[in-house]
Amino acid sequence: MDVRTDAIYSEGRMSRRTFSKLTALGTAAALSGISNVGAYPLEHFGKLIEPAIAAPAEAESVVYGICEMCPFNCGIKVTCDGGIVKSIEGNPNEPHSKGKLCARGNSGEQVLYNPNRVKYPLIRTGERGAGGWKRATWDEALDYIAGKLNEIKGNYGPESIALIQFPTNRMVPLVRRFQKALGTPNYFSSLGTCKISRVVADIATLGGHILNAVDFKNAKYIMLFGRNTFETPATGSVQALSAAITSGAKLVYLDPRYTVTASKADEWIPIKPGTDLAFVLAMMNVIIREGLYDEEFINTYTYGFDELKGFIGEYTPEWAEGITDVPAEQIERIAIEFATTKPAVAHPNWHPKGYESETQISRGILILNALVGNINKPGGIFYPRGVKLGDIKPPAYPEITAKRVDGVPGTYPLVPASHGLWQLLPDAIINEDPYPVKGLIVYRSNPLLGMPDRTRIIEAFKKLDLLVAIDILPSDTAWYADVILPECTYLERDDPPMVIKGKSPKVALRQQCVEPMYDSKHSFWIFKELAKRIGIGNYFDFELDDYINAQLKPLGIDKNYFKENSIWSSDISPELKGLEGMKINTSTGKIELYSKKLEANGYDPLPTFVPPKEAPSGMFRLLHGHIAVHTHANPATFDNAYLNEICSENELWINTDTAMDLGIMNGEYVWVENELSRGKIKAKVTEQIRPDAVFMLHGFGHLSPDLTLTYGKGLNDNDFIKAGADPIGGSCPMSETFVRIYREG
Amino acid sequence: MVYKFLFDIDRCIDCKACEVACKQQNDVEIGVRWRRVTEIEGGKYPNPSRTFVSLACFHCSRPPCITACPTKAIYKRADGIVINDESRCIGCGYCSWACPFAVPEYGSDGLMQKCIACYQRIDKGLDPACVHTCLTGALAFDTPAEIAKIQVERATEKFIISP
Repeated sequence: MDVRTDAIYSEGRMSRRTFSKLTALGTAAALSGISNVGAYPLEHFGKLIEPAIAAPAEAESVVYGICEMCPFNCGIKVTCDGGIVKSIEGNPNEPHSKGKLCARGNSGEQVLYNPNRVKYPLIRTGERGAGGWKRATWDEALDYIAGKLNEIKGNYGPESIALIQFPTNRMVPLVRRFQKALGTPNYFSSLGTCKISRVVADIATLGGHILNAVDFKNAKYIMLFGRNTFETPATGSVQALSAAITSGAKLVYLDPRYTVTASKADEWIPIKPGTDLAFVLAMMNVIIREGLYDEEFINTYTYGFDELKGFIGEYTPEWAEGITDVPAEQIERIAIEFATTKPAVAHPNWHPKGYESETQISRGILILNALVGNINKPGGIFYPRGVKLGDIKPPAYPEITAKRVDGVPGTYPLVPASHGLWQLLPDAIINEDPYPVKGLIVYRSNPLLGMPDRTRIIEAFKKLDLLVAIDILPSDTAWYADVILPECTYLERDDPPMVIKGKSPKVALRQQCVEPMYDSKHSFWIFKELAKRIGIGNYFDFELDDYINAQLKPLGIDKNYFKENSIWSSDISPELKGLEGMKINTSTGKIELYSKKLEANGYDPLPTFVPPKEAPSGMFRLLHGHIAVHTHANPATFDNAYLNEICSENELWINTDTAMDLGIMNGEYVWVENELSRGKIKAKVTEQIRPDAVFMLHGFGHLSPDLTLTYGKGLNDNDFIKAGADPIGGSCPMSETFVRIYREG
Repeated sequence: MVYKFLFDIDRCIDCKACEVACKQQNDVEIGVRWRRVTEIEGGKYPNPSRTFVSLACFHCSRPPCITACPTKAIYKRADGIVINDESRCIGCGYCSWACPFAVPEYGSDGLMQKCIACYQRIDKGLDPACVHTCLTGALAFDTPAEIAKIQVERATEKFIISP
């Protein structure tokens, strides 16, 4: 059977209204075709209605849960009526959303009721990626996977099986348990094309990763180095930054592109791409030269100021002017404003631009904050506080002797193995270096679009003996899989609890709102069943509820607590009182301006500027980024009727003068080409970008025809990007990418 | 007592949460938008500008759509909310022509649709869905007196904080 037989195509979407009407009519009525939905295949509705009919038709009820439309996991309040999700809004007691959601959070019902959902387990019948599938029972699918896993394990060892998972998925601890019990070191999150270098910079400088802990709300001077807060909308950060702006904080925003955040800034600096560290170093130069640093803070809480002082002398604003395209006087003025306006904060960024020196860029920004002494104080960056959850202690894991295939920690000693560098996996598979990887389980992640160089990834996939995709929608990765297992959405399940780190930690629980639709299952059940079949069932000798309760036990509560309460709050005071009495987890016990950790591992202990690669003649630097209505390469937003309606296709931003030189008109389709790929995209001729760079939104160009809303629309930025890694922190230098642009013919 | 929308152009960040919250609340079909955020680009590099405007029905005090409607499908509630009764609508489109902002749109059934200010929520003492979800306070729905108060407060803040 072709997976497409059951999908609904251009006829439209299944709306909640249609769904409610059908439910009211009942199965028989729907099957007899009475209703306004004649355009849809009836067998589809028969399947669809079952769970809703089975659910008790109770009165309107409210369930508090956790959103999963992006990595930020905001608290949600879901109103259900008769087994149907009626509305999703923010949980007013959750510290990020405070009752408000972004467009993606508001669109959740379009994932739940998306007719393109994977409805039952599917086993591939034809060539990989050809789209031939047969419907399978769960037993058939799981037995098939287990057979293959056992075979791979027998032939090549357990290390030949790799796992990929999105890092903020609530099931991370249990999938890692599966990985460790299986005996493979090859577990990957997607942080290799994200903030892994920032994580390493945080650890090397502050002794730990501080996440998004920037107290915008109380800051009077805010610097964002390409941190496009308003278009990567973490609801809490958006509200805090907006509040800071309206109460008079000055916002200085550096980015080659005039983003929405730039449009709200007091000062937009179209800095030359990849030169932010030069700007930061020149700021430090001025602050130190003028004696504007916080001497007491530096002496008490930091290590290596003298080394920094000696190092910084050559990095003058005049030096930086030639590199950054920003006048020396402007850098000097901003440095003085930053050091004299209290409190001033510079966001240490998330994925700081995608250059090989990414770790040092992040470190530079962290050091800048340390110089003005604004750490763990109101209006500064701070160490977020968490609480420790319990566990169900697993039996002893088998010893894993094999090394990871991505060179962590051998080549990349500072990169946490809890994430690894997924962008290096395709090459390892193709070259069988250092050994063959033959099995890959991809759980709720879409590496085929999320990782660089798609051609190479497909080549790697073709070398696998087994590729399993566990997902809600038929993602690009699923399209190339051998087996697709349908998972239920965040509205159809409970999940392990989430600690919301912050000034005062809180704990939230994802709770089931409606029955799982179709034949979809919770991933806990999927991994447990798989574990049983490959002889590691003893690691999953409990039910999900037991695990949730064990995790909540140290808080003195259990799962039922969240039936009455929307959130658990600790009694830790949210006050930020500086660093006094705090243990800083670096080798010196201080914030390391001069990093002993980097030094010990053979890296530059000070943030030396390394210039980005220059664009070859006739080529432009390709930049990529996000828009507020989409999340990475996640089909949940791209193949979502509400969000797709707002942004269905990406465009290539080209500066007006550049476009004129190239003879390109606004709105026409142009070719983008480099050594990796060639493709067409609609040109957006605009004043909002530097003339030497072009930009496209990330996440378009889906390959899976079953994502009917987004298939074939837009171009994939990753097709043009080479896989690589910052030698220190491992982030892929994705902005070191150059393309030619030309018209048809 | 009547209600009006407030839109604060300084605060809008084009996040489209209002648009989607509206769709979700009112189950507005794809292709029709009761609230829409539009971008206006301007300026010249390196001094460009981007302005975002989130518009829905203004719930006019003297609604031209009501005057234009030949079947009296559109009416005004005591609280000022302008509603179209789809059962009376004949789909002539006069309301959309008469509206200076072309707010009423054709649905796929050929009948007119427009923002109803989530009156079901208003009746429960809640804000419209778009206002409720707005992350930056760019939208509000209140009495003219309250709106004036917010506007004056914000203008005063700006006056105080500008150097």
